[in-house]
Amino acid sequence: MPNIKLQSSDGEIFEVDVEVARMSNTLRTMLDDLGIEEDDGEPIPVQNVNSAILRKVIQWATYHKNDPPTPEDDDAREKRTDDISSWDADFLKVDQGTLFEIILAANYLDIKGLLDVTCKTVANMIRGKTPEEIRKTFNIKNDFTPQEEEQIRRENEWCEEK
Amino acid sequence: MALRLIKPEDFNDYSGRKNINDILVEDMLMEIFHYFSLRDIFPMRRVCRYWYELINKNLLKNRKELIICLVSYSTNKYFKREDIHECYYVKNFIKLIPLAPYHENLQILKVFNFMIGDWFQTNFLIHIKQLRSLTIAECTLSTTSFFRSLKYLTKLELINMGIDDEIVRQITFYLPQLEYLNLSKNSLISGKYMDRLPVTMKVLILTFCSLDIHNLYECIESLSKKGCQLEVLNLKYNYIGEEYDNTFSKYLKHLKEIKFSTKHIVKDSTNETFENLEKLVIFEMFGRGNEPLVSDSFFQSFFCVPFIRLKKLHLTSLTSKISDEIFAHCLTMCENIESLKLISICTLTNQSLRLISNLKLLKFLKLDKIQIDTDTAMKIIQQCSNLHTIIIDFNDTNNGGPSNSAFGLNERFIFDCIEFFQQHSERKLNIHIFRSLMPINHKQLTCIPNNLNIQILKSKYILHGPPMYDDHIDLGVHY
Repeated sequence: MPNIKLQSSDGEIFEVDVEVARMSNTLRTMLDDLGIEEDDGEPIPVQNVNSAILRKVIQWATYHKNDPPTPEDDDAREKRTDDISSWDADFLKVDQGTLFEIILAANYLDIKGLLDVTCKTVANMIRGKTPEEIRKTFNIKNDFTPQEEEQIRRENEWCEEK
Repeated sequence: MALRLIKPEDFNDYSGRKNINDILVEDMLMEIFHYFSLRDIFPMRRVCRYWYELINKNLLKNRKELIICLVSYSTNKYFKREDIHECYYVKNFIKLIPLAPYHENLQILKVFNFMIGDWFQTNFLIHIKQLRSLTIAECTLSTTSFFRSLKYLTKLELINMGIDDEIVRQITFYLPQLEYLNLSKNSLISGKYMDRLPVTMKVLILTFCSLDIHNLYECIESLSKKGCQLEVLNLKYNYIGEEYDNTFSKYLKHLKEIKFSTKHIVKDSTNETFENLEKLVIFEMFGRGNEPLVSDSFFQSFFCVPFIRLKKLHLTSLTSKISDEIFAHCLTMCENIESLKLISICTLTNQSLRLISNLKLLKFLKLDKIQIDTDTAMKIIQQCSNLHTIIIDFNDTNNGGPSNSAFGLNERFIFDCIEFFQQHSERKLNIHIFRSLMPINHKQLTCIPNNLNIQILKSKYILHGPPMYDDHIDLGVHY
């Protein structure tokens, strides 16, 4: 199987199957533009992604390389988030920082399946929580003034009545 | 070189708790927020100023479509169960007023079950500058002045509101760009002032009104003379009281879809017919004393030239006898149709129904209260090679109509279908049978080939299987 080399932002080199690399639309375009079919010795730089995260991304892409392509249709996307496979759920049992970095990498490398599953994971961390619990979960500071809070409370009244 | 295994220490860089907002940029947060409904996203605005602004900017101010509904409204054709999470489902309009400024870019607004008073104009619509489409259904109207700020409106639906002709006058006065008008289920509307509708009109839906036929003809003639190219005209269930010796087809040359009663043009006999028609729905209304008004002569004159573009033909509730000759004539004028619905036409013979098998482009066939026999049904299925769905409804539940217990369709139909589709694996067909009066041997329905999907719904006569009452048997795969 033809392999190519990817170089992370901190200089580590990973050798991966071309088909795995092509899961990323960014790398696919790069490979097509450069006409790279297989290893010619020069590693392709993957800026913005460090070795720890790139390794995770390659692990995910290797497992999912035979998945059917995900539809691009943006408006018709379903809102359900309870359809994460158990392999993905295990794979994403990482600390928050790593999870966010994977989202950034999935976005930069344009790997739709990985972006979807990571965003769903974060959505599930938010769902059902009060604003205070969300702040606690994500270490966010409440930066509203009391006047602003009062205004938002008024705007939100419609969905808070039972 | 093989992939290195991931070691736990590789993640140590991230042990410090970073703030989600420091790492994820706007696009990423929006990817996450997209998984929440309108109702779920509102409390999330209270988390921090950054989220508040992101949600306002991307999910409220950019929103093109919005539904407002008073709590406890039941779901229906216009308001679907899933809409509840995506709409303002509120007890009191006061709660909506602080939200109005967020919706200045709204294009489509639907309102259900509300009291439309002055607040609607002065506290809500006033913020929406470019509304294109407004649907108000089953609301109480205590103001007629809310059209003033809606000059960009192209689509208006006011359904089941108890409104009268005065509203029509307001519409024609304030809405110069209107293309789509639906005033269904307003039994006080007579069609007065409709001749003042703008030249931009494309779709006119007036079901369950009490149109005066003079007003209707005046409207259609006036629109046509202004240069209006009406494409859809729906006059279903309009008890037009008076016959009118005129024609309107010459004013409707651009029409693509019409639903009308035979009564509306019962005396029409003209060679100028709807040449651009793609969908034709004819149903019968009764005059005083319940005498049927349609006759062979109507069909003879109406179907005098071919409807070349016609794709859908629905004939409903024709109680008068249609002769085999006339039915054959109708079908030859509509030979390109892909969808045919025949509903409650008791007098159609199997000799007539057999002619459906000549419709080579037919994809969809519905027979409701039509007395078809097994041989005829099989001939249609065999000959119409494009047919992918056939719906047969025995529909014996009407009161007063003739009983259909002498239905020609018997259980051999199912077996003949199974045999045919076993031999013709290149074909696929969905068969839905409602309220079946034929005994069906459920045990023998297990050998159905994959290319045949039979669903038996609301049937009581199923032998040798589990007892099925008003139940649904689903056999085979769905297409």
